[in-house]
Amino acid sequence: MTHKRIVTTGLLIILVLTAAAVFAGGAQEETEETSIVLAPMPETRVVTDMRGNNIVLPAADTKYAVLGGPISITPYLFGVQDDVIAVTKGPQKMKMMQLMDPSIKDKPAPRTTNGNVNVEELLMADPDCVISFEVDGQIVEDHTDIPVIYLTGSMGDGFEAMRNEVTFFGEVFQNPEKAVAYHAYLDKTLAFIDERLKDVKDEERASVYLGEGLDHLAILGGDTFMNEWLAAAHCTNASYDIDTAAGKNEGLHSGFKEISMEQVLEADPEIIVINEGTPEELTRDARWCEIKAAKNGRVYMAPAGLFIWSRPSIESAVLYPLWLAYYAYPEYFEDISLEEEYIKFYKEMFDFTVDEKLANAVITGGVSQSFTTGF
Amino acid sequence: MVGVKAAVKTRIRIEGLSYLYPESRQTVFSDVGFVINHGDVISLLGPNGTGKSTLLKCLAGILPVRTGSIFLDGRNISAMKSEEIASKMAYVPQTQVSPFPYPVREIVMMGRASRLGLFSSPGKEDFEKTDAALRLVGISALADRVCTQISGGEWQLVLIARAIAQESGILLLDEPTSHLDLGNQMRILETINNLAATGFTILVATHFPDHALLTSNRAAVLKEGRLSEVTDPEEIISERMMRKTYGVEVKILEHEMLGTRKIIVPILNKG
Amino acid sequence: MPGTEVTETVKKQRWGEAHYRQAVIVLAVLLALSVLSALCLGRYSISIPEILRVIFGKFFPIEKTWKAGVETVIFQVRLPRIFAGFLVGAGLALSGASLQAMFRNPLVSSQILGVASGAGFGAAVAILLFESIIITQLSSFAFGLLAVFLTWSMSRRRRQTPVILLILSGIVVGSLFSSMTSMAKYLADPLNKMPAIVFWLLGSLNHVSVKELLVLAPVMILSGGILIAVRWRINILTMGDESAKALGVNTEQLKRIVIICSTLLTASAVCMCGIVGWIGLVIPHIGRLIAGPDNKRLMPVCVLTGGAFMIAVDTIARTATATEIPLGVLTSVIGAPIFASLLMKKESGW
Repeated sequence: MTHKRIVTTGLLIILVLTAAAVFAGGAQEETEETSIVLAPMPETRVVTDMRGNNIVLPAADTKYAVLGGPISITPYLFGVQDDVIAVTKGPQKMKMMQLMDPSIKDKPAPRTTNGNVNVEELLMADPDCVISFEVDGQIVEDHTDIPVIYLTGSMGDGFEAMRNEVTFFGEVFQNPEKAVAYHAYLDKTLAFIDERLKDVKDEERASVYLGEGLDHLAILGGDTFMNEWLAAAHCTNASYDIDTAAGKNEGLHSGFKEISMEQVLEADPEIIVINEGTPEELTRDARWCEIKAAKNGRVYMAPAGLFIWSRPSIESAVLYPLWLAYYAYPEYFEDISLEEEYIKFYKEMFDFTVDEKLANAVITGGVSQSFTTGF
Repeated sequence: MVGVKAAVKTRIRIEGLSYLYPESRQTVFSDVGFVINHGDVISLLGPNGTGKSTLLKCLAGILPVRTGSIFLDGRNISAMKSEEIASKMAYVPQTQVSPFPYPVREIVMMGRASRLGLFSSPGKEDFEKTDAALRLVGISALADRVCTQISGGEWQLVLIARAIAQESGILLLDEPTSHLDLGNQMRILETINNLAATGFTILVATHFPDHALLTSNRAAVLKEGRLSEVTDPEEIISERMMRKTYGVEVKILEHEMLGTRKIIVPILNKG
Repeated sequence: MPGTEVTETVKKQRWGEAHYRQAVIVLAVLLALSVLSALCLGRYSISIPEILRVIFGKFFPIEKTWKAGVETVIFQVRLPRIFAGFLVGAGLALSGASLQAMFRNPLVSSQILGVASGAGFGAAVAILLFESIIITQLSSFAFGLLAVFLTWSMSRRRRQTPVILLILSGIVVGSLFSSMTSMAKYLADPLNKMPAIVFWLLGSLNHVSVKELLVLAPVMILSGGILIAVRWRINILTMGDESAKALGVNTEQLKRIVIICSTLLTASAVCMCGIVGWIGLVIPHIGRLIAGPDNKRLMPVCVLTGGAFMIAVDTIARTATATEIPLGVLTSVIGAPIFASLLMKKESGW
């Protein structure tokens, strides 16, 4: 009987733990590290990363490896793209990124998704440092001697965190003035939207539902960055009351969770943004056709540019609220050409000349559509 | 046993039957031929591994026949479907393992398969025939016992009951007494005799020549791939045959207490 | 004759005719309860009177006092999910029970022949190359059938299919398709396709639509119906190929029927809701505890139990938390401990 008891207890413990994991989700652990500050050698500089570590880098011609999706755009803001010698696979495959920087195709891409780093390929690239978030950074730290500049952040961060991140990058890339310029551009854009939409009362704000995946049911909840992006466009998040930032479901990017069709029907959003399929298919589907947005034809493909915009990036922070405000309240922006605004942004921030056709592709989601396989 | 002389009906005719193991092409037996008449009780003797089981399985249609022919009531069994063969001939295996705890009644009821269509389940008549089969073998009290909780001897009786529920006239028994104690052995032999008395035609593979003398009107020996003549057991079973077939010395005795019956007494070499 | 023992009478009572009838009634009631609760529960709050009115309103002309969304929720979301849940649960349980009999092994599940692995690979490839749900489902179905066909062909020996070879071939084919699925995941773009593949494999009834059901339901009902029709004969397969043949059963034909029907059932289930484990293994076991191993009774019990179980689990999956819990996770969390306790309780037989 005691043997049975042991087995039963063991199974109960496993069951309880599994249930806890399923329902509670995991929270990311934060560890603090400090290291000794060395007096910098003449041709070096010291950078303090977001964890408080001090990393010694060459004073000039630093070779960076940038591991991460959205942050892959940031080096271009500071004009240091040629110093980035190892990149991330997803951004590398984006059509628009390849147009802006054809050389990215030839660079080694040791990181595919979060937690998947090909250490040997990274070592072969021989960077002076790696810029990444916790999971990837830990892998590099465990297997190599390459110093890691840790970023902290999650899908829950908003504009404030974005500004801090840009400032931080300005220091790392030794171009703090460009960081200030970006802040100014961001503030200018948000203020512009606020000005145009100042007469939109709070209760009149359009409710927006973003559903990813083939069945359009993977959402970003009220505790994610998207909430701020939507609020900046004077819209409300149809999934506001659902928290999705914590934990990670297998098969979904962190920050996304799947909801049931019922919840969408209950929210009855005025605008729907999808990233797969077509708006025509959705409006014809028997489950979606009765929703306000479907009946009024306000179903749009998610815009995407250098990277996808369902992530917190320096691109989506500026352009997404602009895009949404334009589509949610067209009557307030009749004199504005979204394409021209975009052309201006890319030129000023990235020194990247975008023609009207490409700008239009960004707006209508045409850029991400050309992104199919990963090889 | 007493054979009926008038109007002997041949049930099974075997001609030139040979069987080879499919993988090694090794011969199990070759050129076996004999007839089984209605009412016969034939004992098939021979040492372990000579192919008695294989011969029975060929007769039952379980193993495919490539050389030779087997005729059942005049028809070649290669042209017959399993259901047809099973409705006329019931095969009782040496052992049966059931991975699931069916009640004994369900096991016996499986014998009705050849009488039921693909999409049918047993009906009232099948229940009655099953009960009758249990009664005939004398195990009605076992009917609701779970088959994983019965002894080897009880299993043999259950399998015989299953064969009877098939309502075929012919029984092929594959070493029905091999794993049983003396009491159960006798029980099986009594059952065989009772069944023969009610008109069954029976072919028994066995390696107890004594049992042949107790039950059968004909016997044969299968050794080194050849089958002997199928004839009166008392003719076949001799001290010489026992020496040649099994390599043992015996004495075949009669005793006034046993009437006409003979018994086989093995002689052990002492030291 | 050995005398009657306590075990004998106990077993007799447990599997007696009256007890079986009681059990069926209880199970039917449980099924009805799970259907009703699934109909009434959900993130979109609808009062029970309203539900009744909406359903009534479908057949009789009464005044529409509800929002359009309510009708959509009931007829396009909940009812399809309930029906699909029933089909998946009953189908996988039936498939598991038949295969357990055919393989003479109660540890066999509906996935032993490689259907699920094949179907998973079919879905992965379709997601990789196309962007249509319909193509994904067609592909998963087709590859599920292909996998079983390969298993079947690999185990043919002189027009016979020995059971041990079927099991081994099933393992080989299953592993082959699993590894190819992993390869597809590796090749897929990490931003969209790879998560889509993984998520599809996890299992969910979230995307069941009426259109899907119109195609798959007839297939499942027909296959399940055939298995139920031959359920008594399947008992005989548990005696082994030789004994079954001797008893007059056309074993090759019957095995073919079991394999084809259980494959169609499993492939359809995987098509509708991804890979959901444990149902095909645990439900027949529970059924045997209730009704005994005789498939004449076991299979109807499996239909009722499997259907009720799946509907209940799906209801939990979509209402317990604000976001959907993958079905495969829930069935494992619930099924594995049940199975473990079954293992520990059983002294003899299955």
